[in-house]
Amino acid sequence: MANTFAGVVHQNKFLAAGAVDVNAIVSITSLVTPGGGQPHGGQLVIGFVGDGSGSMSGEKWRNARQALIDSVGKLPESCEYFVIIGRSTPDIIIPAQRATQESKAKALRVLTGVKEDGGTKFAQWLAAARGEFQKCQGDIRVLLFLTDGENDEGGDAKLEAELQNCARLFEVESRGVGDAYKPDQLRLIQQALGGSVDIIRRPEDLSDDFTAILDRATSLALSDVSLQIWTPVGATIEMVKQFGAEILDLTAKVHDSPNPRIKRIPTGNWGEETRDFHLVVKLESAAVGKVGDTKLCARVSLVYSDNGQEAEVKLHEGGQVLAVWTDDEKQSAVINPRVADYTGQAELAERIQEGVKALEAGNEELATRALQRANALAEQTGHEATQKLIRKLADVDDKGTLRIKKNVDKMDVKELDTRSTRTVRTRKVNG
Amino acid sequence: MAFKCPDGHDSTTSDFCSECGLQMPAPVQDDATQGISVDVTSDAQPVSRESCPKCQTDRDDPSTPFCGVCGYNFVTGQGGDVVPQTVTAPQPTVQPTAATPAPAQPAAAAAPIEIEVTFDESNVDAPKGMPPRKFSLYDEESLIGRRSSSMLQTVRLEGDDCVSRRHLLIIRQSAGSYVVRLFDNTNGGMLNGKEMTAGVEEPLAEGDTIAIGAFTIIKVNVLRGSRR
Repeated sequence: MANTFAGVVHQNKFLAAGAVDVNAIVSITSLVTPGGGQPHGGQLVIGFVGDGSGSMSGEKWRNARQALIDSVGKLPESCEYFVIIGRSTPDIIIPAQRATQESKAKALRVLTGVKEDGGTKFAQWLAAARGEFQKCQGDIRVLLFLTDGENDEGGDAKLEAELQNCARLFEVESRGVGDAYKPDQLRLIQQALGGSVDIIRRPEDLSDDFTAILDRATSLALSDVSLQIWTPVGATIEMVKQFGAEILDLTAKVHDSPNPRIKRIPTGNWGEETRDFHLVVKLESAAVGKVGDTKLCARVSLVYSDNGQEAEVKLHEGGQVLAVWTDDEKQSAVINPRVADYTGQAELAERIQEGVKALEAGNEELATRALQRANALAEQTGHEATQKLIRKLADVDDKGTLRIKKNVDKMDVKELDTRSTRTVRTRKVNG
Repeated sequence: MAFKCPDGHDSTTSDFCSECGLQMPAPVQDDATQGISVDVTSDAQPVSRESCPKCQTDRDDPSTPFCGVCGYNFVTGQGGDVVPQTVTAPQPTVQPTAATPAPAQPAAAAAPIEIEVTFDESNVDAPKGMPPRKFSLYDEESLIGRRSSSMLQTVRLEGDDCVSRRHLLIIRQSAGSYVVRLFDNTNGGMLNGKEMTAGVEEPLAEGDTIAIGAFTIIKVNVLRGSRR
């Protein structure tokens, strides 16, 4: 398999005289071309961490175990895999190995006898997964991480430390089942390692969801792809947010390259997909151009490793983000529709999380305000699914006035919280 | 090898200074570089001169691999076997882009067209008891098809495997005037009970129903005339 990338920059390059912030949406589509000789970035390694703590007892555990059994059964023979059951100490029931028929048959026998008990220790579970990944040859690495509860390692410090160890080694598809897990903790993992988060409301849906994760994982063709951004002297990358299936703030991941003008931002594994990146470049006052000047404020490309060789993919028109300073307010006041849309989507996620936290803390007034704003943003950005979730918790009248319902289902709150970062692809806009 | 930028830096690139990013003076008679900076609207949308080998339409959006009209895949060279029979002239983009400024205002503008998707429950395979789903279409062209990770339809349908990933296109011709076009290599469609022909644009009216796939029904709920 091989990837073909196409990218385009959307922006209003006109800035008011003296303006220092340059906004752009860089939209990148990757196509996987089947065949084409050798697999590109090596093969898939898929790890499973199934929460086996005491709280999983009963239906959740039965379904989780069945989902693991089903998933292992479906693994392609060429991939490597491992299975860890998370307890007070992680139980590596199937160490990293290739998914041969014999291996899978043995794994299924082991899984059938696995029991649940013990505590929820995310950092230890991830450390065990890291150890297994490091034994593998494949470099497209995906961890399926299932939990139903809150990390009980006394705060998030241990988790955060372990996430640093895991950075860029693998991606995590986190799933929360039930209504007792903390979406914030799953997002912490996502923020550090990439991948997705989602809720599984009904344990019986676990198996289907795992299948979907496997489908996506097996379609991945490239690992460790980075955005490469050139910026001029006096410019800094103020913000990079990725709008793939979900919003991911990558600003903290901007790192140096040997060339001081060039920064890189890891974006993880790529399959056939489109991701949009909202880029904000800030210029020092000395770097701001005069009225009439045209300045290149960023040049965006992609880099990845192709069988040990570094490959760079240039984007359409050189991936140029420009600035033209003008006195004409009619030109500079226009916000590019895509920039506006994604700014709205990012605020939508924040408002939802704020509203949910207020709701859980019993502050109905703040919750109402935040969710009302969220509802309006959802309408504006075409977030129909999100609006539906908001309306499970609250009644909204024709004028958009929102009232929180009397008896709110805890599961509905978790669902809204977990899915707050979902992205809706920008509507095709003129220009 | 080295170029001098207007501010005196040594640059390794000839278009913009590799140090400060300032645009370099245009070399004499370089029409190509001039062409890039002629747009005066908001978006630096590159002008693509590539046209689709199947339907001869100009490629409108280089960020997607598909031809917006017939669905030809520019990367793999496959698909796109329909030639539209009522070719719409490319619409000049005269919409006042400046009229939609910040995301701050709540979206009050009603969608010009709204469709409702239901399942024909008399079909044994259709999921039962699904609430109707409504979609507001704002775009000039709205692609309707089965949700898939590889394609970004405007309306992403689920539940009916006989709906193609690119099934229908609803196209605005002028305010309040819409047509629908079926893609070829799809599983067909019926407009108000009449078999549709792939590639032919058929006008839409409020209340029209389009049946596609095994049991998916799309009803045109609202079709607003010229905006007040």
